[in-house]
Amino acid sequence: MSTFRGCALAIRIDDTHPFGRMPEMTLPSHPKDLPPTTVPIPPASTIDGKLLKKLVYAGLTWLNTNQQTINSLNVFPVPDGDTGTNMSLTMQAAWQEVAKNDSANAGQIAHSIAHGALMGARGNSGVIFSQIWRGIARSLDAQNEIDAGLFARAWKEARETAYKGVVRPVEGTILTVASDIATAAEKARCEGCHFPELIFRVVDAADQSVQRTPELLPVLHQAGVVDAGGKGLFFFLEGMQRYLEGKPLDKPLMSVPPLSSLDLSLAEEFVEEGQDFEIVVDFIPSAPLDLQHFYASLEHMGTSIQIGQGDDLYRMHIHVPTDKRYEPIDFILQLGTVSKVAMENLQEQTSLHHKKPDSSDIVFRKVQSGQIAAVAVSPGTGLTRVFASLGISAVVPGGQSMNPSTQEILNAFSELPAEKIIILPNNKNIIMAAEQTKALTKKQIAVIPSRTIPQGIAAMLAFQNDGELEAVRQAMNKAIDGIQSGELTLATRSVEMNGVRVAEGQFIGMLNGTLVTTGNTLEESLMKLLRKMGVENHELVTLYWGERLTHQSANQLTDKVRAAFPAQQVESYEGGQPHYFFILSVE
Amino acid sequence: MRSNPERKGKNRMKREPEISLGSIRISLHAVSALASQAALSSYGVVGMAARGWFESWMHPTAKDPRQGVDVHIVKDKLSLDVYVILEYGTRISTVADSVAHAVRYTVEKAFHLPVEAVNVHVQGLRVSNPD
Repeated sequence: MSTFRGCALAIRIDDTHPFGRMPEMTLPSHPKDLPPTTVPIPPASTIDGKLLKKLVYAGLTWLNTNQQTINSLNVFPVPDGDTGTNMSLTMQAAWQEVAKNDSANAGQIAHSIAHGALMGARGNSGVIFSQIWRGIARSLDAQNEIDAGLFARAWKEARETAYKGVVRPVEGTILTVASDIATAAEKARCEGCHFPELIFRVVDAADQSVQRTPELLPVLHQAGVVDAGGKGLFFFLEGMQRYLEGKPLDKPLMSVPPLSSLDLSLAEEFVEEGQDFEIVVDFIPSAPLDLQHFYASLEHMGTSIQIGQGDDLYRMHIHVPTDKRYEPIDFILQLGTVSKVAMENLQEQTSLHHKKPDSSDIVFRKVQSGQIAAVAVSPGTGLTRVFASLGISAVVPGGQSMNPSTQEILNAFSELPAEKIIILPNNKNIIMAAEQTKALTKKQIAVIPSRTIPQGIAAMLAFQNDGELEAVRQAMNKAIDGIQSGELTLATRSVEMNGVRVAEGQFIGMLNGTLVTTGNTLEESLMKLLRKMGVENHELVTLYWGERLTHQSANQLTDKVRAAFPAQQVESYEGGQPHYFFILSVE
Repeated sequence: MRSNPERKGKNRMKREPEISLGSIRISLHAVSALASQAALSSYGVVGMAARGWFESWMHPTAKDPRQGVDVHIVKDKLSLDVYVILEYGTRISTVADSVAHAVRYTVEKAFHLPVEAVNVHVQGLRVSNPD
């Protein structure tokens, strides 16, 4: 049976997902001769070309359906995964090749697939996938039908071809999964299995192999994910199984993320017209929840659906129009015990929301020839305003995850009449790009190695328009040393760093760029971070709140900080930066 | 080999450390060793290519993998030429692309030096299985 096979991470993406809709690919047109997928195929002891073609199409469809799940299996904390997309595109190229081939000869079909996959191979996993097909095609040669013996031989050849492509094969990747499949196919042949049982055995082996990849490859273990390429191969084969069992292939199986990763404050920012009420229901279902059906029913009622699970408790979040505000609650009452209901009027909330900060009224300091001009990299409008008030002459938009190029920094100051320029990169990844402007301009450049916004602001306090560039640089460098900078953001995935454990969706606090605290709520982690920064021994706390927060919530949190640290002066500014809920400094 | 260790001075890249205790000098040999490791662990690469007609006639795949990488410094940035032998039957353009990415990523991450260009030269194919 194909129940949900423990995927490490499944993200449901709808239009209102805070990170927007991922690019979608279009499937090739449905082949006419495919029977409706609800009718199970009668078991046959062999596979001919026609059935192989259908199986490949089913595998491709299931791969497409699950490609976002595969993409989300990143090893690095930055969201850069494209393995799912690459494998999908590779198989899609293979399908376009094989769609033209009407042969009933299994060998010829396999050769078409191998050829198409080779021509369209994308990314590492795509290349390996195409090698697997090449091995299968070679062993099938021109055989009309695949029987158990040929099936096992094909996978053995696939394994060998795949391993030949690399000097040092890394275990715990798609290569290992292919190898385990070959072993399982051989074992199944010896035990006298036939189709479709053979396919089921292979899918099972692939599943177990994928689950084992973190044991073999430490980077996967650290990142808490399974290998994306191996998972892709598994989905491809599972698509074949689902087709044989007559199960639908166009809806991904869903898993429920843990409660801690539910971030309902984000959903608040994406209120659609007509969705006036936000309903949050905590409930304990009386029978195991059929997620597919549950989502489908909720989709008729509203948008921004999110579901989280902790122990036996489920939490459901939805935005609905006024006249449907009781429907989700009534619906869930039928499914089990409701323990808590929260309802909020979103129209009222949004009208309280502050309008986006406007940058049109920011005035930069004018400089003349002979003076020193300061240029800062700023991630948000509010911070630009702060920098402008301190006397910068130009700003380069950028920051975490949007590093400006050397050219962009150069463009910011090349038109200024001043010949002496001071650059504040305000991020450790931008310092190098800033340094490189020296080689590209005749102006005198000094880069202050500010790694955070508070450092940049502290440096600007020591800035002077007139005087020697070197003297000003030294004064600004000195100002950086005395400051403690903190940043507060959300973890994009679970990880362990510097001995601190973080779960995806938790808040993380960083002190001078190093991860130091975690917390489940913004308030908790803000307080923890402030304590880590040693607030008690300092006089002034400055908070710059980011674009993810509203005026109201930022003010509430500021009041709480004031109450917790009565001896210190607490200042709060709108920073408008993305990613970071708060950037803070203590001095 | 252009990255000859005898020609001192020219083939070293100096990096100003962030905390000034002294300077760090990185030999281009170190860069080429790392780059060839990165290339060799890319899927589809079966060896580094020997340079020079005599060497490549004696050993088509280089014995010392560093031989397959040339490192130059262009305007304070690294430029690498990587000479590889690929497996026949893989999509050459995709494999070359992933070699370039792997080399760039590994070198930039390890040395924190900007890489201007990675040129991948496919010097030959190894045919394990003719189709």
